[in-house]
Amino acid sequence: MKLENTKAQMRKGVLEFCILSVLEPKDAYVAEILETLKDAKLLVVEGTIYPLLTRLKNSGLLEYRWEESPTGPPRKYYGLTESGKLFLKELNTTWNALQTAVSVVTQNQTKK
Amino acid sequence: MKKTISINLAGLFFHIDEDAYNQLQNYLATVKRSMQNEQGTSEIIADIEARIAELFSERISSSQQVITSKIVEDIINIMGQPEDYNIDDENHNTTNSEHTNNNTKRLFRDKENAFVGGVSAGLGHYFGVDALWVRLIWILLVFGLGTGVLLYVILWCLIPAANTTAEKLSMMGKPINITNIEEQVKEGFGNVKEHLDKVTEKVKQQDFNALQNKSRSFFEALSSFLSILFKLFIKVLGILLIISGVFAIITTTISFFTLGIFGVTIPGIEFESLLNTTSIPLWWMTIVLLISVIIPPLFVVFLGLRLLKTGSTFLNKKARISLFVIWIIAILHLVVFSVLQLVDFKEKAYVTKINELPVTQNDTLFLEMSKNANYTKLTYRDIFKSDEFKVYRDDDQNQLIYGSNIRLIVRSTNDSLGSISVEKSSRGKTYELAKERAENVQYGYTFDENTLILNSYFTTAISHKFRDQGVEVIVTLPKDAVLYANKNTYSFHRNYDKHQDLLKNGEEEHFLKVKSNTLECLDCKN
Repeated sequence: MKLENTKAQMRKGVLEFCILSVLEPKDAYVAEILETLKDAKLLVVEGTIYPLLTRLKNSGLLEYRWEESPTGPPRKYYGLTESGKLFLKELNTTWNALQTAVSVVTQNQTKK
Repeated sequence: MKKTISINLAGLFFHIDEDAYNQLQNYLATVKRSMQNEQGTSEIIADIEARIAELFSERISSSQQVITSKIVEDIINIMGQPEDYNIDDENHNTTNSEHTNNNTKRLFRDKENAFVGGVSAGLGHYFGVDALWVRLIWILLVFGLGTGVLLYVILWCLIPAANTTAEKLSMMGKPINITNIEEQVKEGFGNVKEHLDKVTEKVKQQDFNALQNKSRSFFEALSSFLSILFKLFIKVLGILLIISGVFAIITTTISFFTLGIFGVTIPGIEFESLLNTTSIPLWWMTIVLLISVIIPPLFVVFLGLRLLKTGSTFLNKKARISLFVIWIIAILHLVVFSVLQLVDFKEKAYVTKINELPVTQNDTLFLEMSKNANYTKLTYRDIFKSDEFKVYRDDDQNQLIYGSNIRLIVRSTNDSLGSISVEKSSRGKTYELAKERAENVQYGYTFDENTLILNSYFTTAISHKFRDQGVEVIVTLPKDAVLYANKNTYSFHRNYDKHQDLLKNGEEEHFLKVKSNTLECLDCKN
């Protein structure tokens, strides 16, 4: 068990949830999503996000449209589908439950 | 001055240095490979390329118009190593690098360091020893037993050559990532340089190298010929295996199907339950037997498909393991069953009863076998047929075992009166059980007016089961008595010399005078 690996796994676990959350208020393209995630120090390298986005899109949670970019190549703007929104709602509930559970457990541990 | 290449990345046009181009191409190829299990790889790659294009265009200005390897390195740092693209491979993340080393190390032939086919060098890499030691072992094997040559040829055909960089890396046991591929390529260049530097030294070694090259080219030609021959042989073998396996499966299935039908329609189930000692039902035994004979040909078919390298998923690993386990269980089952069965046949017991037969000198005894229309139409003992035993119902609808295992023997005596001895025998787990069974064999005969009528069958209650029951009837006649045997006794006195039967086959329906050691025919033509 290496600390780095465990950390990476924990981050990867919540990554899908975070990508959906980033897209909840407004549609965004990859660089914008990356920026948010990098600012939150959730992502170290960019590579991980591409397979995830494709997978979310393939399972019908995300959809995208092409938009011209002033500087680079055309951009893929990702947005939540209806089922994506429902999915996110479910994940939110789970996350809150999980957070409570984890804090209960960890606080109990520190008390001992 | 550097050469540049123009590339089209996600629809944008870039000038890129040659070395940077190679680096980028290598990177994308490795990323693609690391996502082989992912769906929609090409779409992901397109997204990645678009992102790289975006990052490139951010870095290009009027003063910096060409993508250098520095920029490519920066971008690889941002994007991450190929491993980072792999979101599912948890093993990859949890295992440390040392572990990965062991896992990724594979056996290849190292053609670069080859003398013959590179087997030794490959084995050396695999076991982490110098190839010299492996070669020494080969030489010992060749001189020692000669098997070394054959083994070498087999390994040569079976072990693939390390051709690509990735294969070479896993031959060395290094994890395949950009850094290592780069290292390998650099090492390759470095080697070339080193070689150039040491030209003078190489001259000294020329003989050695010439030998190595000559031996290599000769053996390479030989190798390609042999490997074609070997592959052909393997293919033929594979086809033969598949054909024989399928044939075996079909024939065994058909034979079991017919056996099953017979078992149901003819009172065979009852027969089977007589054989049975352990209360295992027939259908269960049939299934166990079927399993134990049908699984080996399945594996033969699998082996054939393997040899043909069809890549078929006929039996995956899980299926193979479970089939093997099932087979072992079935075999154990059969072994236990046979042992139980054998144990029940262990002891044999005889019960003999001798009665007087009022036949004196000069009397004529007519000997014949009776038949019982209830049980059988034939008065016949077939020693070659296994269906000597059958189950019938008597008049009260009780089930009876009926057997025709009756042996008739005629002997002579010096006494003035004849006798008849009925010896009943059976087998059982213990002598007592065997004896009890023998006593319960029902056998009878009638004697009336110089005519002895022997039953052509015996019966016993079904609860006694089939345990090799039999009856031996010895008719002893005083000297000078006359015997007339009915033709239907023929099959019942087909005896060996050891039974000391005076009545020979073919002497039926004749008047035979009893002598001390033989029968004298009174009405034969010659």
